[in-house]
Amino acid sequence: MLFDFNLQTDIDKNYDFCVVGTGPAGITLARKLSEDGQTVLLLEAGGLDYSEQSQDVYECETVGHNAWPKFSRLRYFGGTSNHWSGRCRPFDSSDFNPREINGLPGWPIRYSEIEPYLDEAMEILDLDKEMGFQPANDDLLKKHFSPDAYTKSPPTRFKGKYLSEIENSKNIDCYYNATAIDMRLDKLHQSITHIKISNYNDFTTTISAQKFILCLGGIETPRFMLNCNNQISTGIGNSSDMVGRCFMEHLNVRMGSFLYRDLDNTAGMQFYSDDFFVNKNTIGKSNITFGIVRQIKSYGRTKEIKNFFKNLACQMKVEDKVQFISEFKCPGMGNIGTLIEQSPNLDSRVSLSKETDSFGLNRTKYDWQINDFDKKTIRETGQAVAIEFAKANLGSVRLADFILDDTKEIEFGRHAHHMGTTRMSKDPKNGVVDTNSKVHDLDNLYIAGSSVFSTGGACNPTMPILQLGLRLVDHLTAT
Amino acid sequence: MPRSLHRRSFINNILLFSVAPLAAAKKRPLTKKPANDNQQTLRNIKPLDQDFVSVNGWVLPKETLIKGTS
Repeated sequence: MLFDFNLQTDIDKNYDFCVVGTGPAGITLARKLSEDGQTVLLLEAGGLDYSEQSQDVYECETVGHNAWPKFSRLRYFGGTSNHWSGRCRPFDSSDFNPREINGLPGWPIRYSEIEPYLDEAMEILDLDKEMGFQPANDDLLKKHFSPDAYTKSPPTRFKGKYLSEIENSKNIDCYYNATAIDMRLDKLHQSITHIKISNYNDFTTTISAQKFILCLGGIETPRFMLNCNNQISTGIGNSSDMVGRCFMEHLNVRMGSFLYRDLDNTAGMQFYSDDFFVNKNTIGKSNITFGIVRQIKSYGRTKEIKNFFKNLACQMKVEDKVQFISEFKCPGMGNIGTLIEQSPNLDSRVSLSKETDSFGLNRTKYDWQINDFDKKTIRETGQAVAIEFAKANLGSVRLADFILDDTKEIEFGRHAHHMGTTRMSKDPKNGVVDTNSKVHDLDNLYIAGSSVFSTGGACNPTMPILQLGLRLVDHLTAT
Repeated sequence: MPRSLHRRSFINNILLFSVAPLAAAKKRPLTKKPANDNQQTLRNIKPLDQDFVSVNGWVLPKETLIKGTS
């Protein structure tokens, strides 16, 4: 059933599960628990469509590198699946090998624990299981890089695909316009008894469930836990001061440009660093994209004029002298982009700002930090891929200044993959959730989503989020 | 206004807008070569491994610097 909490405010049932958040993780958990016969209260803070009033809650105070945190996420039914690109690549089994980075352990589980959920995750994301993950191109770089193998979801919009199923479900009560504003603990501070929610008319109520699952993403999940500070001043689940720490993004770095030897070659290429190269250099993994720039970035009549000069300049080989008109590349030229693994780092964190939102909750203080380990990954990968490109006789690479000169600041971009802020660990001192995604400090609070990633690999997170979510469902329904 | 004048101004505009930027972009001959020009180029050469160097960011085989390109 589907309810607008701005209009219908009576919730008097005691549910088996309360799932907070309707992104890919929340919807998947609610559906699967419902299929098992469990009663589920599913909460969405926003409405059924985008609204400024809801989205404003994502306004952050940014103090580190800026990754556009407000608009990279969406605060309405379906969450960020409403604008994700659909690129899917599973984790490698080596992502789960025991290791230590920046004094922190990697994943406490092995890949074999989430691999059985790959098929179902692919089904949810409308991926062709028969086709699987195809190499993007030939194996042209022979030594340290393999062709990346990925596939694309249509992309699946969870609102479009599952809203009517949830509306017609007997076991799921979904309330939208219902913002979770607090969690209440029992006397011993061992379990959650109630969750407090508010609508947009300042009406609040408390609801109870046997178990609670937070599915709010890599920024909102820690913000909510830190804001629940009425009974414990440091927030819920934060006895080791790990909630919000180890914020990770995938690093989007314009490493440089390239020129194909064959100027008629217009094919883009994608490569993935191999384990030998990563382990030998003690760096993170990387996905490297060689993308041809075909079109000038302009519109209308100006585009015609710019294209005229572009073609003339390319023919006369004076393109570097004419690029003040517009950024462009000649045939055979392109840019090198990346999706690089960031290492977990205690100083990169989400905490609370002094500013508050319309519900009186402290906004996010967003401090994204990139350390020397990550800079080494970027520089060593950039130099290696440029050499491999030349060795393969594909053409030449011109690297950005900051790849070759470590005194220069690296220019970072973002991928909107927010990970690691309630990381999974065996030992509570190194993370927030245990190997079953249960918060270490509590008996009945669980977390699903990319905030539990111990490390992020160099793959897009949506499919692993679903694999881990499906694994959590199996755990919850087995116990 | 005579028709020929219109045509002339049209052609002049075409020539002005298409040739002027290219002319402006042409490398002007230096009256005096800066004393540290070669040193600057040398500073921009960085060995990457046994076989490759970067020159102004371009990653090239070392032998290219010795033999030149064919």
